[in-house]
Amino acid sequence: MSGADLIQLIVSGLTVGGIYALISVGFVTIYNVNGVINFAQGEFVMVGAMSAASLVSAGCPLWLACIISILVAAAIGAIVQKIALHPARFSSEVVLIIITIGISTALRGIAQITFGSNPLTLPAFLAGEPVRLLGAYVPRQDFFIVGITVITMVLLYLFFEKTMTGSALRACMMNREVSRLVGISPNRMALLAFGLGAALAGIVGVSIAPVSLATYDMGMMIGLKGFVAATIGGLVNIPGAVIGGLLLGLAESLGAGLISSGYKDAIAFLILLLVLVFRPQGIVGAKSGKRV
Amino acid sequence: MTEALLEFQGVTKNFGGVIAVNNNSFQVKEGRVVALIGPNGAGKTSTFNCITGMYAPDAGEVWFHGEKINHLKPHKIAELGIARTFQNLQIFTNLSVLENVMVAAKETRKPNIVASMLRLPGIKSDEERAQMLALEMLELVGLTDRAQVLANDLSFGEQRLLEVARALALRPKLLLLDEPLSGLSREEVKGMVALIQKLKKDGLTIFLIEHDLSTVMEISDHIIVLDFGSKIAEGRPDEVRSNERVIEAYLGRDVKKQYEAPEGKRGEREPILTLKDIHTYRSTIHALKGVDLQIDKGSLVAVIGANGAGKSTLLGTIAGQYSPKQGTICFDGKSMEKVPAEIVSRRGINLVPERRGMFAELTVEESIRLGAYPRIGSLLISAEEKRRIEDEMEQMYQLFPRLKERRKQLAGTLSGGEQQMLAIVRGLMAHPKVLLLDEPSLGLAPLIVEEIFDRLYQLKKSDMTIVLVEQNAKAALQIADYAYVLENGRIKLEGLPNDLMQDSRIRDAYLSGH
Amino acid sequence: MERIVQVHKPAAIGVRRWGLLLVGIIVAAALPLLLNSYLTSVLVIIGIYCITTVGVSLLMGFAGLVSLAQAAFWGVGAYVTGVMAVSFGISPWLGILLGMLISGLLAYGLGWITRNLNGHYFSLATLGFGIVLNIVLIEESEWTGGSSGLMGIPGLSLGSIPLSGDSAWYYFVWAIAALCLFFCKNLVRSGWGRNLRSMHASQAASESMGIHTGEYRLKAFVISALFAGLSGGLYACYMSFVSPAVFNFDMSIKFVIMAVLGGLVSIWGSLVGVVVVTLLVEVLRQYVPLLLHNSSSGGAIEVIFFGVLLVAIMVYLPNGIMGIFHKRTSNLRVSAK
Repeated sequence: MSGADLIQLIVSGLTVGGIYALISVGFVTIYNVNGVINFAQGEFVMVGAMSAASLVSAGCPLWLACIISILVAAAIGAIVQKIALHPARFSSEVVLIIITIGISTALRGIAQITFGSNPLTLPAFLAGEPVRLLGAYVPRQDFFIVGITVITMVLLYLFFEKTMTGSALRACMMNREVSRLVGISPNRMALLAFGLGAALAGIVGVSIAPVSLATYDMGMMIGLKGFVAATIGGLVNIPGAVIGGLLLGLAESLGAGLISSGYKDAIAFLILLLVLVFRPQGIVGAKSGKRV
Repeated sequence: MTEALLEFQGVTKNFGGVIAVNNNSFQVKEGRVVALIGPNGAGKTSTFNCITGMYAPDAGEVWFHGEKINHLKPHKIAELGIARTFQNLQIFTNLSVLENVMVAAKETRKPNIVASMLRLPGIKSDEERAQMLALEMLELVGLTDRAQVLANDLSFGEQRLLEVARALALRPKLLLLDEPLSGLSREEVKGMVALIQKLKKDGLTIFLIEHDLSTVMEISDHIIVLDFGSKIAEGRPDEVRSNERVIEAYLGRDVKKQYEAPEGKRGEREPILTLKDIHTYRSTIHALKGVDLQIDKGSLVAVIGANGAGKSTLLGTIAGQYSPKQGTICFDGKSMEKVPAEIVSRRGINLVPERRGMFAELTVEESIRLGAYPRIGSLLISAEEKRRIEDEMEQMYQLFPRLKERRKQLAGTLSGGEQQMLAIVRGLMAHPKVLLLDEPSLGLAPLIVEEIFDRLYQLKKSDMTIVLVEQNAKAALQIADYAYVLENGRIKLEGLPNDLMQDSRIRDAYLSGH
Repeated sequence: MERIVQVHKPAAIGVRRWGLLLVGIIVAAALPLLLNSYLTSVLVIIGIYCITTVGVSLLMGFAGLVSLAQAAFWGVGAYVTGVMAVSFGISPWLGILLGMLISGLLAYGLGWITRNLNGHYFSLATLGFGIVLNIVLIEESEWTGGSSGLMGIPGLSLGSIPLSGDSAWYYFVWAIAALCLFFCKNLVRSGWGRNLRSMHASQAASESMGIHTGEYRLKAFVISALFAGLSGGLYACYMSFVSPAVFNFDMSIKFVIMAVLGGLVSIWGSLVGVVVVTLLVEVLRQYVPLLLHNSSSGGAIEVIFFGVLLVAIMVYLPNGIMGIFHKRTSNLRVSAK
């Protein structure tokens, strides 16, 4: 493999990795605040992508469509949390898992009806020939994706580190009981966390829609990969989620170069199994091990 | 010379900085009744968990009957002959009393699946033998006529007996009892004690954790005392009872500085917080049995008492963590019994929880800033308010300069004393009208305790209302204006600190438990 | 011991129950004679689903694990039977057994890897497994026929008599389903089942009483996979055609819904759940196109319906239909943390 090919794979790996990182951050936030693995996370990606695609084909300007779609994803997340997860917040693990599965299923069905079964396309934001970077051809849309990812990460960082609400959310993730003593309402935080996770997924959907076709059932695969990324990171905090995403993207990209493309999606699963066998607490690894 | 059935050798267990078991070594000899005692947080249950395999020790070895067991999993250790009961009751609520006990029976521990599906005769006879064993155990504890009842429907005392019966069905060589008397009525305590003595007569080795010290002194052959995770004494009951270090561990130590006697009598200031007839339940345990409390504005009120007396539950009830089943809480003219914790803290009652309650991955700075959260009305803060918060933070640093040096450090990496200071500062940032402190001296070196108590005294002097729950009775009484003694969920004594310090009943209350 | 206590014998079935059972059997036996071929074939499918769902009910209701791979194991059973028969000429009976075996082994592997992890990881691992299996079925088209599926799977014969016609299949499948229900019921009531239920109430206490909880969970998972594999093999022989589209995530969810709706408190819940869900599907299929004047979204409506139904059950009726009748709770509601 030539150097240029390697760079190509690394670049596309990091691009995809950024995507996985964003979904993974959503997962980890929701898991630590709401105590549930959100099986519907991928579906929020789909909602973002499909909303943007259909708004644009209805004549809406691109930038507006993107913003609306992200808000739609966040809103649906908030609604879902309020009517489905909040009433069941004291239920056992089994029940919570099943509820998010039900949500995921319902969203898929609603999407199929609202948007139809055919794939939708979104025009690329940056049209034109691929750019030559260090000997590799990088599609312009990739720059956009990376750009959005970086901007979102920065905004997330500012939110979590520099605002009171962000600190409150982090505190709630670390120690729910004590956070109540500091006036933090667990119910509000649960709502916020879920909405935030859904918004992040929406952002992902909007940025990848031009690259991969938007279909009503695209959510599952990408949601699963987001979870694998979160597991690699350790499910405990946000930096871990980001690292997990980038690593998964790289591994997938480099691995796909070696295996037939049909099995590309199985790489993520293989990595999941490897992580679970050798280091289930992930790279960051919880000290108390209570998550695992 | 009896053999050591269980041996602990240099066992250490820590959890992210907190040392639960600190290089302890001891032996439990066969046929004896050995008690493990110590104040709250001493590491007693952690010790049990190291024995039963729920925790893997970070260092040291655990030997049982000549075999090393510290790396084994709980079910394997049960098979070897160590059985336990649980402090917070872990009965199988979805099974009947009889079925609960049958689970422990060896005959049905690993039944053949195919044979079970086909209901082969071999399975049937195994079941019958397990049933016979279970009935025998139920007979021993006196629950035979409750055999068919769903375990969840038993009374609390019966559930404690059920756990013992279940543990006995393992046919153990060593029985670990974790607070078997806690929550029992006087009658039930007598029954449990009789059972323990009968089991001892039948040759069983018993290792128990208990707070009811008078009973412990009565029934034990040997006592081991823990404090802050370390063993501080062991020996026969009479030896331990008169041991200086033990007394100090339970009652506390004098703080060196002399503080002025409290000014003004009770009733000269107006009450800001009143509790009337508070009954709180912690799962099935009746933790507070009709508590009346009056906290005057600007005073420091100490609540002292032995472990398990209900001190933390009391503060937790005031702070809104637990909702009382009965009774009223009146604060600033408003009733607060049904108000959840996050709103209680916004109204001006702030709790500094037991064991500090740190947000491990927030820095010192972030933690202090977060302390102001209850004051904030909306999502966005004005620039002016932000500046005010930053100014206050500077003032806080003056209160505890040590925190300033460590402002960028993660809270989880601070020492115990620094965490306590951080927790207090965090509580203060909310501008509390009433500051609640749950055992601030827990696990801290005497010098740090002095520093902290000095600050608390200063705060009281500047007209802050403080409710201080403490195990360290002497230090607490030295800075208090008024004190309550809590025993078994009830107020046993109350009065001015000076009067109480002379009262010998306090010492009894601490060292006797019932 | 002086007193002999009358102890509840798990095997006792009262006279009234026997009566009900007898009536039920007679009605069930008469059905194919009364109903047309289409309805009988629906009943055959219900029977086949029931076999898988019994395993799901055992796994979810008693071992407390949510597996999203049951349709995948179903698929393994179906495809192994099919491929063995079509490509290697192996008798379908043997194929079915082989399918069960391979399902069991895969479940053992997956279960072993996740044995010490909490339920979330387990569920997601099963999800991944299901997706990968689907990929394999499509990619290895040489054997499996790819997306278009595998055709020409031979039916079963008892000796020289072929099993043909919906009525014959009905009796055959339901005999097996009844056996499966019977075996599972016995298992749940036995000591093994009791130990499993104890784990559900308190894992810590269960372990402390000598129960190797990881092993019990693993075995429950393998049993559920064996049932699913059996069910798949029967499906393959009955339909004589299989395609990857049937054994996907949506089907796994259907199995979960069937078990949950029927009620996880009792093994009978699986039977109730399968019947109710199948009825609902039929009703939706008939009437929704009329309401919407658009038959192509029928599938989507069904999906939405079941998604919402699943959530509603979990929030408002976590013990399912059988939970209304059964007094014993299945610990799905945990008190406030």
